[in-house]
Amino acid sequence: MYTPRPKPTGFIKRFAYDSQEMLKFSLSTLRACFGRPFFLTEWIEQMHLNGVKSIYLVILTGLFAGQALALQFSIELSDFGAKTYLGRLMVLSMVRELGPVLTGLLVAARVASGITAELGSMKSSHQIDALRAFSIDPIRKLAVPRLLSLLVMVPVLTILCDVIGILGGYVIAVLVAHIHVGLYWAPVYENLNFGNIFIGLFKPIVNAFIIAFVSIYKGFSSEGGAKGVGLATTQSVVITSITILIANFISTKVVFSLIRGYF
Amino acid sequence: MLEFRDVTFSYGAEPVLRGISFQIPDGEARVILGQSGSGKSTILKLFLGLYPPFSGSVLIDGEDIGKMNERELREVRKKIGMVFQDGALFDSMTVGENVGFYLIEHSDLEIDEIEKRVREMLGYVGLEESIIDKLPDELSGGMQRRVAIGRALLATDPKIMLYDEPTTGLDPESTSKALALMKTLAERKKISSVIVTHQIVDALEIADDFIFIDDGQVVFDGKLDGFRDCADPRVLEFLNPFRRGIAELQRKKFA
Ligand SMILES: Nc1ncnc2c1ncn2[C@@H]1O[C@H](COP(=O)(O)OP(=O)(O)O)[C@@H](O)[C@H]1O
Ligand SMILES: [Mg+2]
Repeated sequence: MYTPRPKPTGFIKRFAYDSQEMLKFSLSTLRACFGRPFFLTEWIEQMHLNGVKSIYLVILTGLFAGQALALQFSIELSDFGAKTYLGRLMVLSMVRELGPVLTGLLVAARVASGITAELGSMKSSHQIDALRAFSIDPIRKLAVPRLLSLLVMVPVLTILCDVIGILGGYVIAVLVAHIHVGLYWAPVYENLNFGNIFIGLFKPIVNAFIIAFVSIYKGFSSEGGAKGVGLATTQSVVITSITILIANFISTKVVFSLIRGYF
Repeated sequence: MLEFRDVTFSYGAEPVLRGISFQIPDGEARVILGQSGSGKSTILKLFLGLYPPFSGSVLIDGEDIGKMNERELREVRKKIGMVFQDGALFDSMTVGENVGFYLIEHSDLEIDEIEKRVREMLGYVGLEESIIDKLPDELSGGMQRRVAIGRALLATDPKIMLYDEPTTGLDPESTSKALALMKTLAERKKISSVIVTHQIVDALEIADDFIFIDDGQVVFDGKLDGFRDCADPRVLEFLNPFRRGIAELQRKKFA
């Protein structure tokens, strides 16, 4: 990270170089998670900034997405006289797919941009050099607390999004689809089995790594003043969003086939 | 003793330093002059060991910085106070947390004791104690620069001070305050100073030994007289705007 080397030109070479640098940087961040000193205050501060402050956004998203989904499902299901399947479909779609993806994308938009912009401006105003001049490792002080805060908060926010989405479905079930309360909730509980919960937690952990590694790397490696920081911020949001969607697909494919028996 | 021995360095494909050599004996002040982008800030970063040189060696008291690991570098950095371009204050921390940064992070002192020392230091660099709880953004450029000097001094009582463009962008009054502070430090505390700048008028206040670099090479290294009479076209080009300024002042009967 800190040992500058000639950067290759050309799209493919540059992509390979960037990926390799990001991998190296991510590995050193991971390694730094286990060493001392550990910056506890920074960690708590980051959990607040990245997690607690995202709660309203996640609640709103979960609620409206859940309700829209439940509306669609209940219309389709009533054609087959199968409205009692609503609870089951809500759990499957929220916990397995929508909750992780929506929360991941929201946090990517809100937090990844913030992290890249902040670290980028610290870099361009030489604050990161200043940390090192005072013998503080910027990876420990800046990268580790951000990574660890996301590893805690993204799963928590995802669970929140799932719960709110399913509650939104419940509102629709009762008020619009006129399903009996018990008939909505029974399949919900039934489908909160190991397999669904596992994949529902596995995905947000992957998302947390993606958001943290991309946004922190983009911030640390940004160059060229305000303009460079702006560019890095945009790239950070775009790359995290796309990677989250791709990783989500791969998780579904791979994890499902691996733990099929548990569903 | 600070020394660069045939140092080359590059951030990317373009070489930034192409074989730089100079020496600064203990307790002396030296000004490094050069156009923007000539590699001045990079020289200071190499002194701090933030980057290793590609070839050649950077020596502080005879020890080669480029060959050290982080733990050894930490010891060397204790000898050095660095004032970054535009101060580089930590903008999420208060003035007090900035000035006391090193003590907060690396010492076992009680927070009250640190605050006491921070207040003394603010007084020493000519700032009011009442700004201790302000954020750097709320201060003027000149005040920020003095906070940065305070932060560097309180860190470890350094014997080497590195200043990166300490007066650039300051109004005349702030400039003369910052210069006076740097001069006091250099004289009273027997500190070696390296001042990087492209503002020759300010440079004259602090030192009369100059190193002029251009395009990553040392073009001139010596006293003011020699610099004034230097016939190298790159030096002439650097001094021309300054000379035109004097001529203009004389024409208007100011000088
Ligand atoms: N972190 C960096 N990454 C890439 N290039 C850099 C970096 N810092 C400086 N440079 C480049 O190195 C050259 C010298 O920069 P610098 O030492 O800051 O010059 P000066 O301080 O004399 O203005 C410039 O061309 C600058 O663009
Ligand atoms: Mg500079």
